[in-house]
Amino acid sequence: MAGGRTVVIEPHRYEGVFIARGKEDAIVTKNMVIGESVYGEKRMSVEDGEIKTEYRAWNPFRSKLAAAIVGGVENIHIKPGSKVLYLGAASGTTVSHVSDIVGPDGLVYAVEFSHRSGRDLINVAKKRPNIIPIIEDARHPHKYRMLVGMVDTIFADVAQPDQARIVAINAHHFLRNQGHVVISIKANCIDSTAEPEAVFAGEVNKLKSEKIKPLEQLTLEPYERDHAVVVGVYRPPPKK
Amino acid sequence: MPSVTLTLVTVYYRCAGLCLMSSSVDYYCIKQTKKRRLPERDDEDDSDMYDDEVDLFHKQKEKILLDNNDHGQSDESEEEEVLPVVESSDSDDEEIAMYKQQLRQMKRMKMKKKMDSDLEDEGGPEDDLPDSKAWGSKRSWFQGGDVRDNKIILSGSEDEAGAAALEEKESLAIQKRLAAQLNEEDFLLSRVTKPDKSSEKQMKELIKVKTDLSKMSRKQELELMKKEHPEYLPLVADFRAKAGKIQGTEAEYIRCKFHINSRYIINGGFYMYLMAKRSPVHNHPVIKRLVQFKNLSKMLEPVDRQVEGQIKELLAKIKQGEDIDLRSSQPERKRRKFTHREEQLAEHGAEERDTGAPDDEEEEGEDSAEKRAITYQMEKNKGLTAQKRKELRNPRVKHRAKFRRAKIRRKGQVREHKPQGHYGGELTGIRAGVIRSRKMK
Repeated sequence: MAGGRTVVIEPHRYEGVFIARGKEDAIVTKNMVIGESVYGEKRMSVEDGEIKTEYRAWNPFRSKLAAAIVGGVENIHIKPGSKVLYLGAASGTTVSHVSDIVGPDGLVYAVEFSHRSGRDLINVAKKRPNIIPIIEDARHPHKYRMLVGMVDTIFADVAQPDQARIVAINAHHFLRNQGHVVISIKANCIDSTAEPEAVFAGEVNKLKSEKIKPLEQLTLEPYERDHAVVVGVYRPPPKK
Repeated sequence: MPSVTLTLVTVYYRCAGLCLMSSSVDYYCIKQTKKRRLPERDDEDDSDMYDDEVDLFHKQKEKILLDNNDHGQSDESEEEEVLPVVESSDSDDEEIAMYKQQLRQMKRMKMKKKMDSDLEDEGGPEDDLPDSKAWGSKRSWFQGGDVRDNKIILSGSEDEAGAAALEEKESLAIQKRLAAQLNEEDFLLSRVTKPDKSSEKQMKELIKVKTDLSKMSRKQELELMKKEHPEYLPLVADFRAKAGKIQGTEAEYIRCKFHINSRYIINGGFYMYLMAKRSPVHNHPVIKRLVQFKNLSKMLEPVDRQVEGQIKELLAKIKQGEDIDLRSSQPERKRRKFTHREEQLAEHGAEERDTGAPDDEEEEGEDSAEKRAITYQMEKNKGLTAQKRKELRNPRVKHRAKFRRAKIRRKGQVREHKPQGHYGGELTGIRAGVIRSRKMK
């Protein structure tokens, strides 16, 4: 992926995600705002005749969602046009990539409680019209219920002990039926003494009790230590 | 005597008691005197004390009986009576008898000292054992007696051994005595040779013949010889001939013949010696031997004729003083081969002797001198044990290796966290189709 080299961009299994194949492979997303980097990431521009497209590299060591994609999760349930509630948006690095994926037809509701990171997030959102930054506590979704409509997917990276409850409340408020939940679980933040696997299993059980059926689970090694991404479906259709 | 001592002692204690003037002391004195008196007490005293007339009579009777029985044992009883304490020494006659017996004993002791110690055990008439001739009449009673003894004296230990030795001696003595009793007449030979009255005449005739022989003329003797020993004369003739022939070992090849002839001559000589002794020769094995050797020499005769010329040549050479290698007469080729081989062997042998042989001998000597050490297998005595890997010897190392292997295996199961400073991309590439997540139901 070194500069000047010929790099081949090819689409990934997930819509809106691409693979840049050069000396080293990397996942990239189509830059919504051409000519600008959000957090200093590399960009690759492809000129196909008059149409010029630009791709931004997505570092799995910085983003849990990227790690999950490279690690081989089956489905991220984020595609162009989908509406995503992003809990724990932080500085908006990953949010920018999600906004790239959903494209101009989709929407990203980025919730972040910290004002400091919220400022960065707002700066990102200034350039991207599909990002709606919400500087609020995710534990109280009624505070931002007037801003957020019905969503297809909730992505949560809050790293709080009551993460499952936060996700469940938000799901009850905004997630449509058979909508999906993608949660990144940091075992240390929930129970630093217990085994990571046990913590993951506990969180999955909590989700189950909140009408979220877990579909798949993926650990994020080698990018993160003791992290797992759990994908679930909210109010799945009854079995026939 | 005892009564006197008693009184004396009592007086002594009375004197001592005067000073103390206490009854307890008196009592003690009496006690002491009683104790002193007890061993000296006599049977008669007892009888005086406890027995009436009837008991006395019976005791007397027993005494007499015992005396009668103890003729053999009188010796021992007398020995005990060297210093008699009994009152029966009152009468002078008895004293004299006692002294006589003492004297006798002394004499016997002297004799014993003079004689061998063996004689002590032989047991004279004074011994407490019954007479040695008074043993049973059957041999089987005394032979193989050890078993019976063992049965009788089950826990005999020392006595048993002593008894066995005694019995052995006794049996030997009996055997000797029996042997002494036997005469020449008792043996079968003498009985056989003993001239019966019926055969006395024949014997006289035989004697006559023998006496006649000396008076006979030489011719008559010869005739008689021919009659009695027809083989004698030819044998003697042959002997002379062969003795004349063999006067030295000229050639190697004749060795066989020489041996045969020499044996023949020796046997012939013995035969003639027997004849000279006039002992019966007809059934003597020497004749069989003579015939055998005669036959052998006959078998050799054809060979003699063949080799005669060669021998003569050899003899001639010897006379001229030439050195003769007897083996040179053998075929040359074989000889060469043989010599070649011999030389090789000799060389090898010399080398071996120079290098290896003495060392081997020394080693053998050492080995035989000192005991062989036990082998490692014997020392460890492990029995049948399965071959173990070196890794399994140390449990700590074993677990370490196990952990290392497990870690390697886990690499394939769970990806490790590898923090990275600068991310350039996935070195191993990204495959879009791969799903590594775990499905949940």
